Amino acid sequence: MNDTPPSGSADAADAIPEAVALPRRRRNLQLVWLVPVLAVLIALVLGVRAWIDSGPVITIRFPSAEGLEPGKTRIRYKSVDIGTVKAVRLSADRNAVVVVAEMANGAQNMLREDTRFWVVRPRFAGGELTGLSTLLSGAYIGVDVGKSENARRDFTGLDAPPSITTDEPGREFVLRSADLGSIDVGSPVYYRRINVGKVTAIGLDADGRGVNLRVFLHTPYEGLVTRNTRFWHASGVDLSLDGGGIKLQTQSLVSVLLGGIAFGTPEAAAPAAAAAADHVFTLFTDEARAMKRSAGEVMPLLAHFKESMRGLTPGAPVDFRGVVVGEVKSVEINFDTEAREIRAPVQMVLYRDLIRASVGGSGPDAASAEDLLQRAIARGLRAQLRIGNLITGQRHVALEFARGLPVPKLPASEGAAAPLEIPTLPGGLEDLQATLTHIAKTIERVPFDELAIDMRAALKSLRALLDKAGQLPLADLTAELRATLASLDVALRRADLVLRQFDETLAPGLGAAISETRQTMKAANELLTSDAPAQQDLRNALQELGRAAQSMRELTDLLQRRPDALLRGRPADGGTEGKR
Amino acid sequence: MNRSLLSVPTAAAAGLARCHACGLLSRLPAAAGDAQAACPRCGAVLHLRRPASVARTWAYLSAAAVLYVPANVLPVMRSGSLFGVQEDTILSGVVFLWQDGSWFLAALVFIASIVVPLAKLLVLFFLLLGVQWRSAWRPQWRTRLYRTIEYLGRWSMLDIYVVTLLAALVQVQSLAAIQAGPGAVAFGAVVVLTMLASQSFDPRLIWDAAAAAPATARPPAPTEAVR
Repeated sequence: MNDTPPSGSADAADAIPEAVALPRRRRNLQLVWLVPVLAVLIALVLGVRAWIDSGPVITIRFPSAEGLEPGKTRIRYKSVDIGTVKAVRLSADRNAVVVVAEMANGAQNMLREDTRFWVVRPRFAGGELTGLSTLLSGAYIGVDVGKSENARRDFTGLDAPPSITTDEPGREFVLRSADLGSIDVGSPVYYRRINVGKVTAIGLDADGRGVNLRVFLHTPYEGLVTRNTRFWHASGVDLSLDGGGIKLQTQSLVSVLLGGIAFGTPEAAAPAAAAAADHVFTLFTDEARAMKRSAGEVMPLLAHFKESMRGLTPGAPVDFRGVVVGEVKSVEINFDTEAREIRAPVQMVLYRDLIRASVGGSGPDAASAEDLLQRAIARGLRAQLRIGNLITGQRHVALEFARGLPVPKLPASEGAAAPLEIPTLPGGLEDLQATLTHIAKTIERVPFDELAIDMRAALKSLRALLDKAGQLPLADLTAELRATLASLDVALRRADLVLRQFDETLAPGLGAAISETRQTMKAANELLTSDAPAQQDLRNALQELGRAAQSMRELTDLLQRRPDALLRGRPADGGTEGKR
Repeated sequence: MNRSLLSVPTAAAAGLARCHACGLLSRLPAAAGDAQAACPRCGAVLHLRRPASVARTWAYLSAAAVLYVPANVLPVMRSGSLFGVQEDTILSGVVFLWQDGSWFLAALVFIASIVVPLAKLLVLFFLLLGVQWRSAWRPQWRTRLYRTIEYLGRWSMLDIYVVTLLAALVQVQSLAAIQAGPGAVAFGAVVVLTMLASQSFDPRLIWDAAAAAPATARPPAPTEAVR
C-alpha cells in the first residue's frame, strides 16, 4: 500500500476514495460446492436409471440378418418394444448370424428356455398375409414367451413365425401320415367344415418313413378330439374310382386351394375320453379310409384264389349279397408246394357287427362272428371274385352260398391267431370266360386259311369250266354238221343218181332204207334243234349216221362199180352187203 | 515474452480495488486479514480478485465433468415417426451425418459438441492446476488459451439449439415427432457449467502466480490477497 505510488499521480492517488470497511463476516460454507454435488447426484440418478432400465443382453442366431439393423431393429412382444438389436455379427462357423440384443428391464422373465424369436417380415402363409406394416417400418423381431421355468440367454431364431403362440388357449396333437399332400404350416383344420385350428409344424420322421404334423385346435374345440377321433386329408379335390364307381369329394374352397385337415369321430365308435395333448393320431388319406373300422371291430379272413387277381386291390370291398361287410387287406401270390399250384392268398377283414347282423343274430348273447362264419362256411358259404365295374375292371370279393357242393374239409385252425379260411368258387366271370375261351379255341381250330385256299381253287376251276363251256365249239359243231350234211347231200345226190339209174332195180328195202334214213335225218334234225344236253347223244347219233352214210357210200361205190352186185351180190361177200 | 512485464506494479499491490458494479476505483482500508470492504459509491462488496475464483471454478468444472458422461451417453434427441422411434446420442448423430456424406456438417457438430466442451474442460483443468501450483510457465500462452476457450464456449450450444428448434417444429403427432432426450439436459448443463467455470476463473491469477514465482528473489508479494 505504501510502496511505490507513481510519482506523477500522487494527487490522483490521494484522490482515490477510501473503501468502506465492512464488519468481518464469518466464512460460511461455500454454496458453490452444491453445484458439483448436484451434478454428481443427477449423474448418479441418470446412471442408476439407465442401469435399472437396461435389461439382460441376449444373443439370437438367425440364418440371415436380412432387414436387421443394429441400434434400430426392435424386439417386440405383442407390439411392445422389449429390446433393441445392439449388434449383428457372423457366427464363428459363418453359417449363421448372431444378433446381440439388449432387452428392456423386466424382460428377464420373458427369456425362458422355450421362448421363441423370429424375424417379422411381410409373409404369405396359410392364406393370410402378415407383417405388412414391416414394409414401411423395416423388420422387427417377434417374441413368443415360453412357459419353461429355466431361464436362457442364447436363442436360435425361427425361420418363420410360429402360427400358434404359447399363450393361445387350445391343445396340440400329433398326426402321422405317409405323405404330406398339399398341407403346409398354417393349413386349416376343419371339423364339420368349421375352421377350428391349424397345422403348426410339419416334419419328417427320423427314419424318413413318414411325416409327422402338429395340429393346434383352438380352445372351444379341442374337446371334440377323443381317442376314437380320426383325422384325414381334406386337401383339394378327392376323386376316387373304385368298385363302387366314381366319387368326387371336396372340402371348403380354401382347403381346395391350400390344403387342410379334417377330423371326425365315427358314429359307431364307442364314446371315449378326450385325447390328451400331443396324442398321436394317424392321418388318413381320405374320409372313407379314416372312417373304416378299427382293428378291434374286424375279424380277419383268408381265401386262396386260383385265378387272376387283376382288378382286386387292397381296400376293395367284400360284400355279401350286395352289402359291404368287409374289405380286402392284401393280395399276394405264392406257390403251394403241396398242391403244386400257384395260389393267391387274399387277406380280408370282415366287420364283426355286420357279420353278426347279416349272418347270425345280434345281441350280446349271440355267437361270435367267427363261429357264425364257420357255420356258414359249413353250410356252403364261399368266396368268389366278381367284377364290380366293367369299365375299369375293378373287382371285389363276394361271399355267396353255393348249393350242391361238397362240404370242404376246413383246415384245422392253428390257434386263434390264424385267420379263418374260406373256400373259394371260380368267379362267375371265370366260368363265362372259360366257355368263351373254349368257343374261341374251337373256332380257332377251323382252318380258315386252307378253306380259303380251297375255295379259291374251286372257284378258279369253276371259272375255267365256264370258260371252256363258252369256248365249246357250237359253231364248229354246226359247221361239222353242215359239212356232214353237205357230204350227206352229195351222198344223197349220188344216191339219187344211182337211184334214178336204177330206179326200178332199187329194192323197196332201199326205199325203206332211204325213208329210214330220212327219218333218221329228221330225227337228227330234231336232235340238232334240241337242247344242249342232248348234243352228246346227237354226236353219237351223227357218228352213227356218218358211219351209216359211209356204208351207204361204199354201197353206192360198189353199185357204181358193179351195178350187178345188187342182183348177184358181191364177188366175195357182196350178197350180205346187198342184203343189208 | 517480456519478463519485465511480470514485475509491473499492480492495483492489488497498490491496495486499490475497482468496484465490479459501478467501476469506481477506491483504496482498500489498510486493515489486513479477512476484512472486507465496500464500494464507497454504490456499496457493492469490493474484491481484489474474483472471490473464491479457484474454488468456484473447481466446483463448476467438476460438475461439468460429471455431467459430460451422461451428456454423451444418453440420447439427446428422440425422433418418433411412422417407422418407429429412434433415439440419437450426439456421437450417433455425428456418425449418421458422416455416413450420410455430410462430412462438413459432421465435422462441425463433432467439433462444436464434442471437441470444444472436452477441450474447455481440459483447458480449465490445466489452468486451475497451473494456478494452484503457482506455475510461472508461459503465463501469456495460458492467458491466450483462456481467451480462446471463453470465446469458443458459447458455440457448444449449437446442438441444443438444433434440438430445441426441431422439437418445436416437428410435431406432426403420429407421423413424426421430435423430443429432446435426457442427454440434451445434461449436455446443456455441461455447456452452462463450463461457461460458468470459465467465467469464475480469474486469469489475473495466472499472472499473480507468474509474478510470485520470481519473487523468491523479490519478497513483497501480496500472497494473502491472492485468494
